Amino acid sequence: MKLLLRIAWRSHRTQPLLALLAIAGIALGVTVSTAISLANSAAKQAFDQSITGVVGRATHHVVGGSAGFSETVYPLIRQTALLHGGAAAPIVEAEIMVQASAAVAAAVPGASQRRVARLLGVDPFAEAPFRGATGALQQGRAFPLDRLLTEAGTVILSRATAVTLGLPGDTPQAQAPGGFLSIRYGTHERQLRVLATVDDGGDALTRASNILVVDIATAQEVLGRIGILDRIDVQLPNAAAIAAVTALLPRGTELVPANKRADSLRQMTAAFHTNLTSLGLIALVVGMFLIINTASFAVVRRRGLFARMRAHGVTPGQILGLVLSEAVVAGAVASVIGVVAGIALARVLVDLVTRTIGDLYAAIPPTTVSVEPAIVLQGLLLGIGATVLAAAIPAREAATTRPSLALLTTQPERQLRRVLPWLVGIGGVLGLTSGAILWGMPPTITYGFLGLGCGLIGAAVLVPPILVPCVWLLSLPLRRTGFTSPVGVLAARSVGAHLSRTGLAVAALAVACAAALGMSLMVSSFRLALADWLATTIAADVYVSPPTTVAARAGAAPLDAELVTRLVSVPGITEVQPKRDAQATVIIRGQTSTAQLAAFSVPPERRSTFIARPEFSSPAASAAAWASYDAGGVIITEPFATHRNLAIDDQLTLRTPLGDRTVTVVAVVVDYSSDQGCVYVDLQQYRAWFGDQEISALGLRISPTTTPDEVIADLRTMAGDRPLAIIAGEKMKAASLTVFDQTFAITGVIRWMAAGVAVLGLIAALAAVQLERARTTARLRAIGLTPVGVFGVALGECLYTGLAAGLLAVPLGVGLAAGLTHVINRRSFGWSMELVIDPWQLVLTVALAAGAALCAGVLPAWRASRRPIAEALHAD
Amino acid sequence: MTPILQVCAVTKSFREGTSSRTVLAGVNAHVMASEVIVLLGPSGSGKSTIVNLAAGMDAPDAGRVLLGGQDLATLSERQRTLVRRRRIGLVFQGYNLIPELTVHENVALRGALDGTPAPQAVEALLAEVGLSGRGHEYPDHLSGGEQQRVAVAAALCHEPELVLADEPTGALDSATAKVVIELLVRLTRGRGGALVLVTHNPEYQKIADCVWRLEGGLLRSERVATS
Repeated sequence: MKLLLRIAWRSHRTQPLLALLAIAGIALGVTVSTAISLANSAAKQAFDQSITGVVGRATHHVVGGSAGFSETVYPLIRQTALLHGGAAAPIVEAEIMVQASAAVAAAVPGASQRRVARLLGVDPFAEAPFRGATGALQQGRAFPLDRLLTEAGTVILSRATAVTLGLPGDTPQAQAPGGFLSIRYGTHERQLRVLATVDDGGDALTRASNILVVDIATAQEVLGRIGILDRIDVQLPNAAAIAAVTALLPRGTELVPANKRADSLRQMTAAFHTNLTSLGLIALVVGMFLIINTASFAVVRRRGLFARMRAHGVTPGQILGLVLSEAVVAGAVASVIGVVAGIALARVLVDLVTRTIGDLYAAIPPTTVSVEPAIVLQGLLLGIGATVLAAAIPAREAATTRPSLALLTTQPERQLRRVLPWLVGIGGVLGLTSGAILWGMPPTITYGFLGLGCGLIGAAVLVPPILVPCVWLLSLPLRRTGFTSPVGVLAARSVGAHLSRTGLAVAALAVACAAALGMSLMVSSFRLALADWLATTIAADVYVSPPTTVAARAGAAPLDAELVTRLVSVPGITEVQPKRDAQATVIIRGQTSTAQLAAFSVPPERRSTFIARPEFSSPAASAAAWASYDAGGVIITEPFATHRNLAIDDQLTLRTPLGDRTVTVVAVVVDYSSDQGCVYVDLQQYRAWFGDQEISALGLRISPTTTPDEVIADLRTMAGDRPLAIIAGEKMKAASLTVFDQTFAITGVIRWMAAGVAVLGLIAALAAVQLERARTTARLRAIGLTPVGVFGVALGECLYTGLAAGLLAVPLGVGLAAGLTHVINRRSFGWSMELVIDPWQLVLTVALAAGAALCAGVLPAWRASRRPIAEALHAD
Repeated sequence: MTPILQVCAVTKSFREGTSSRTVLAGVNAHVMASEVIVLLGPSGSGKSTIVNLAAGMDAPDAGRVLLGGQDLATLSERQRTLVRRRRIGLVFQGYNLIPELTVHENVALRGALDGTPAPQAVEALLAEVGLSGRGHEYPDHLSGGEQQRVAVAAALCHEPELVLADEPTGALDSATAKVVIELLVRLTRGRGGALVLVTHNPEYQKIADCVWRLEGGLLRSERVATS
């Protein structure tokens, strides 16, 4: 065996570039899948950590509506919980804007930036069983929760949070008494003194970043919620305790299991992670193609060597053993390189991921990538497993084929041609399976991915059988025009003649280009739908709201009533459209959950476009729907309908301070502002049901004689130093589209990575083809084909390969886009949209594939044209 | 009369590991028009090297190779390629047909490369080599003997001045080999070209006008009285 290994080693040394390409190909496949998995997981962990920091170790929460509930209920609940061997802790919390004070900003670069964080008001003496901070204090670690009580207006934050806020914990400016944080909530602004920045104490609070811990009284003061609690965390060890606490609950509050609340928080980003997962899967498929391509080529190119070894008496088992051990070693080396590179790449990707989550969903710190053993193992298994699998099939074939046949270079092509009908069959079966899963199985996201995955792999399997007719069709226009140069003919025929090499590479390139096209079409269709929706929805000229993230708007502070009165008095305002965002408990088919409510009035002139859906196309149907709405019905958004399985005429119950109110769904509308969905209620009805007169945002129509900028300037003057987000409607549309573009920026990165993987696979395949063609090329040179002619043949072959891959990618990409738009988006987000096929993108895909193939082919073509004729001609 | 091919004091060495082996040590020879040369010599004696040098596919370390009086070393790579395409025909042991092209296309290839296709001449030549009506087939559907006959037709289709055949029967049985050699000699002579036939088989001396024996880096030329 040692001798055999030496032969294999020497064989690789004679073709170091191909050996390196094989290692690079496998490594890149592993890199892409590992990087996406790690980035996704790191972002999830950071988000989970934020949730754990907030939710703690409670078994249940007592919650009310958006306005919270009176703190008078707390002593009784705590007493009852303690009596049953449990515990209770009051919480006041909100997302706030935070900025280091001017003194710190001057001393620490970057500290002047305003960031979103979560303010958590706690009772230091009730905290120990929940977030463990008091436990840390008892163990001697410096988490001085008790000082929060004695020193008013102070805040404690973890060192990680301090760093996030640009307050390095080791600078004197970050420590008391010099460190002040400027907190903004709604229109209130307040300075809090940093009592301490503490190390990771192993407890939930110090681990969780972006949380500012204050005493509950400070929180109530900062948030303007004196006497109000947002929730009570409780530990209830048994059913009796649960029943006892439930019996104490006043109207408008309820006891919800803690995991349900954490789940609903996690659900916020689930759709985003789903999106990333789908991209990761595409990268994985392309990566696997690359690994299979390079690994199988590494075996196939040595068929002659194996045949000679067999002729010398080496058994098939020994050949197989040699190839498999070699595959394990190559796979292991490449996988280790791939995993290391994947970790490095993940550090870049995670920044993109967390920035998007931070902008859209919740405060989440810049996250570090932790090397998770499971993902590393997954990368190693992918690399080694796919390499061994890819090598095993041709190795078995090479080991068992008669040596006399194995020496023929045409043998792999003959064998492939024999299996082409099988590939057609397998592709067809996978296509049918895909259809059956997508249309026959329950409409879940898992089945959606499974169906699309089957379709994608099925299409890739069909590429080799389709490739030859496709190239023939491509060469037809040239023939028709009389262009029958041997260079063109040879280039076209070479693709089919080396199908065992080009087939897999074209499949990989086609899948990568299809993935790129599919994502592009989906994103551009989504963007168009969003722009349409924004044009319909953003009807006011100027919007006024407290600064907040998209996801947190329901919990955001309302606008100050006195300020609203002053703002609407600004000259030039012709119409005021108030809106209230709130959270409420809803009961649907006996299931209780929290929902976002948006309460506003829809003026008559906007009503026809507001519910512009086919079922309301007739004026009578539209009028009937609005009549029901005015009479107390609700409109729900598509994501809400999808997640809660609701349709028009279904009923849901809103838990209001005045009791439960059952309402009917009168319409389901498009709304891309939240992937969790929302219930629209008429503002007057909402006020009557919830007794809540607050206003979350204002939409202002202005007179034609003034401009939004003039009105905004007046509004800012009127607001004084009160922080407000005041934005012109047009700018809001642009800003929304910018957020959209940023959200999908990562998809662009991954698309290019997948294309890069495919190009590398193509380089390996084309290098293989040129190596196998060396003798034919030498014959052509001997006959009289110039080096430029040889270069032309090789590059022409690349062009045909790329064009074929591009053309095959078009229907595949459109299918993928349809799947992503109508299946994945629909099932994971609940959003419906039209798939808009931009012909320019189709052309671009073909051009991209052809360009990629040409780039990949330049080096092998150049090498082929420079190879000495005599040497190649007489080489075996 | 100017010889078709002149090999003047040609020396050629090859590196073998750390040492160097001289296969041609000041070789002199020439080929006149319509002449048939049989080049004999043991393995590794440099027979194929002479063919490569004569076809401009390799360059001598010293000395000159002249084709029709023109020193190949003075030509560019492209010019040497065009010389091969238009003035030389090559036949090799391994048939050296292009597998992606049909029999007809293989024979017509040089003309097609030059932009001067001659389909009728190709058909006529295929008929002469006994492959009439098989022009549409691909080389891998033909037997070894048939492939070599196609190679002969391909080498002669453009009526070259010089045909270089490097062990063209090495992979054939003796009966088929005889047919191929007879064909090669007949067709070359019929078109007024000169032939250099590299072989191990001394039997072919009888068809030669001149026999070159290559041994120890030196070439010995012997005129054959009758052929």
